[in-house]
Amino acid sequence: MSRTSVALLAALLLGSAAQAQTTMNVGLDVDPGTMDPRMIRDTSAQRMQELLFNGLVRLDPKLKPQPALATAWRYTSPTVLELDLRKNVTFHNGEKFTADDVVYTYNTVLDEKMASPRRSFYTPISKIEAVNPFKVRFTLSKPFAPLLQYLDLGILPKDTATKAGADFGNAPIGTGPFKLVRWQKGGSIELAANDKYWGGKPKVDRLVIRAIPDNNVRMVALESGELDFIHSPISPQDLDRLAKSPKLNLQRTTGLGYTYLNLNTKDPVLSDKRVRQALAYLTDRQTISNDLFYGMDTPGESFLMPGTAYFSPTAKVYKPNLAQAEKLLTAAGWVASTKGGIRTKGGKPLQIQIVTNIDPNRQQVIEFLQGEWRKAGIDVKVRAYDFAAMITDLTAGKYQVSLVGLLNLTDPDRGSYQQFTTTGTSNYGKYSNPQVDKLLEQARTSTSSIVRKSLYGQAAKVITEDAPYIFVLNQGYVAISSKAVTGYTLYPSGSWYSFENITLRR
Amino acid sequence: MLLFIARRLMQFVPVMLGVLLIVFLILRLIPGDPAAVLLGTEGSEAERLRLMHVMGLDRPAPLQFLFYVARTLTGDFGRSIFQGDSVLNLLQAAVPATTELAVLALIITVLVAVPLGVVSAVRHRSWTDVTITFVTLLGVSMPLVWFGILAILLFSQQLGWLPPFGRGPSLGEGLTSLLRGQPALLLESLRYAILPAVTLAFGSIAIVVRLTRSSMLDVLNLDYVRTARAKGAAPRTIIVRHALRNALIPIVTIVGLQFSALLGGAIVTETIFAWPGVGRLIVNAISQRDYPVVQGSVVFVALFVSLVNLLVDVSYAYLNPKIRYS
Repeated sequence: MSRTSVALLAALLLGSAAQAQTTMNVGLDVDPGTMDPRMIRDTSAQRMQELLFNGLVRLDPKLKPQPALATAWRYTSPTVLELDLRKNVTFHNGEKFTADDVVYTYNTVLDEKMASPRRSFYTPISKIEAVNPFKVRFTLSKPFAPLLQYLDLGILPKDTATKAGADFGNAPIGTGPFKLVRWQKGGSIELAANDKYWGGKPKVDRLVIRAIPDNNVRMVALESGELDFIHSPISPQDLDRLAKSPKLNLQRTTGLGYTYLNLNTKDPVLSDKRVRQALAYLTDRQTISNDLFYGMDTPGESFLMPGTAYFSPTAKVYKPNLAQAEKLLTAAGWVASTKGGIRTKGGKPLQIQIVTNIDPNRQQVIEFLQGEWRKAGIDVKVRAYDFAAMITDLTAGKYQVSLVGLLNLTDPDRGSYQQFTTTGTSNYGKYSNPQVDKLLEQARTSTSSIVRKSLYGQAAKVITEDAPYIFVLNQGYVAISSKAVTGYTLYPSGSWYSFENITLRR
Repeated sequence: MLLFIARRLMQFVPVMLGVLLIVFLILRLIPGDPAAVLLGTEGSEAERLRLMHVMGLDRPAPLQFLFYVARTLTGDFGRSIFQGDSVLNLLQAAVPATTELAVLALIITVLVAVPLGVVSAVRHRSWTDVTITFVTLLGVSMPLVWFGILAILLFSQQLGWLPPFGRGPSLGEGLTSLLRGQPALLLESLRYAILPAVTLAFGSIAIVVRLTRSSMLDVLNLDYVRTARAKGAAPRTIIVRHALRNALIPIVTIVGLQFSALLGGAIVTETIFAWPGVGRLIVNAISQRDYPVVQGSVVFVALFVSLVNLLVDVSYAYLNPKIRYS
């Protein structure tokens, strides 16, 4: 080694040692689309909101609302919610936080012109007003039980946000534990600890967050020490190896999402409940969970997430049962044929197409199902195509069976109301059952969690019996950090709230 | 010469319009639209149609195209549907990163490939020649993705020498700090850039080596080279001064073309190495059907390729004084 290169190396080493600040490097799968809480569409943006902003409440790992910018709240009537706000809170730019900021944030979300993707969560709100600078009042058009759960939306500073307009998402100002230093789009996001944070200054000085789309590269980056923390999505086949690594901590839990087969009940073949039930009996979730997902995602049962307060095991469970499936198909008029083994009805063969987006694990699932369903005499075609095209077909109802997923189901309403009620906006398969409509409407407007739990249990029972969806998997959530990271708390929602408590010991 | 350049620049206008039209058509012909992606698995058909209306995407396609061209001519490339940021801002951030990667890859290509090609030609049919030919064959055949992942596994995971992803300080920042006598920043910049640049260069190296070799072989068999040998010129002088200079014209052409190919390769490389450039911008935008971003980026790439081709043509005149442009 020449003298100059020794000098260079020394300079490099000194350079890094001089940096006494602690920096935590974090890897994400996609870049956040925006940092404006009102415009969040992806989970990365959700995570950024948790670092840069505060909601009125914050959901704890059990999804219970905990005080954040609101310190206390009460329903003064079933349609009026009052919240007391935290005093002496300042935004990153020094602006004081008051009730006006809350009113502004929610009013703009509800403004149709804003086209906020989160608007539908708040439509039952008819009025938001500042009672005094530290008290707000939400008035609802009818009781809306999930409201508190949805009040984790980050609060924006009214003046700054009004001035910035559509550019606010590029230079966000919040009240959160970290503030934005630099955002190199497509590259890295640099955050610094907010030393005036009302909850106390975070223990790490700097966060550098990078989006690395390739699962393998992100994993290698963690193993080689370039990153300190990564989380789902993670290729399930790597879990075992990562769990055994002496340098890493791997934590996993059931997440807040489910992967399901959406059956189009307007399709001539699938409009028959017996055919849908037969498919459910032919879908071996345990094998899919064990062999294709290495146990990371667990077998699904209904739209109620295990591990949440609303879970109840009342739903019908379809244990793999070929004989039962064959019986149902025959009863539906699809008779077994001798030639080729494909069932027919009135001379027409039983053909079903399953589609999904391009994703190695999902593609494996539909290929597995192709073989399984074929055993009962169904000619199955599978197709995986890009997300944009698939989602357009799904929304327009142009599909037979589609394997998709739902995420962030912080309240059971979110994974059921729009999906299964007759007029539900995401009821792409046009499922309709008046009993379900009634149960889900009641569950949404009831303010007693005991009543809600019972109503959701009943709805889940009817829905699994009717089988407009086949619930294939409950998505697991995995977080992996280097051993240097301590103080991290796992949230089933994947939240990064605990980043403010993390310490790095290098 | 100036007239030639001016005329070529004029030709850019129809080329750009053609490129715009093709991109515009392809985007509208492929199934799937940005509104559906925006709404995800929780949107309704009614909302999708409303959003399409808000974005003006429900108007007849020819009308949309005219509006777009008119706006583009005023320098307004629109805003990204997903990122809210203006397309020009996004390009401003991404273009330097891609240019840096492509230039670095090109430098690596030329530094490695031309000498190897010359050696291969001079030692024609020796073991050296066979080995070089074989390795370059591998380079032509191996997909970039594969090479990139292998490189990451070796240099990042196994050896732990280089970071597997991302971009450090820009090369420009690195060079300016070097001028101020602080090389650390440049080293840091190169530490990040070297793996993606080599990956990107790998395929090009193979092509340039093969072309240099055959071009050199042609020239080495010409009469004037024999004359030079006969009058007793040193072998090195013959190879470098007499042969290589004349063999360079096709090499410059292919290097120029490779530069365009590198921009294409950048799409794959940038995705693997999470390099924040135009390639990655385009890949994301296509998968989200972010029309303004795809259109803007492709126009930029087309402009870049046209400029490089012009540069190549101009350099011919320098290399071969017999070539005159009018």
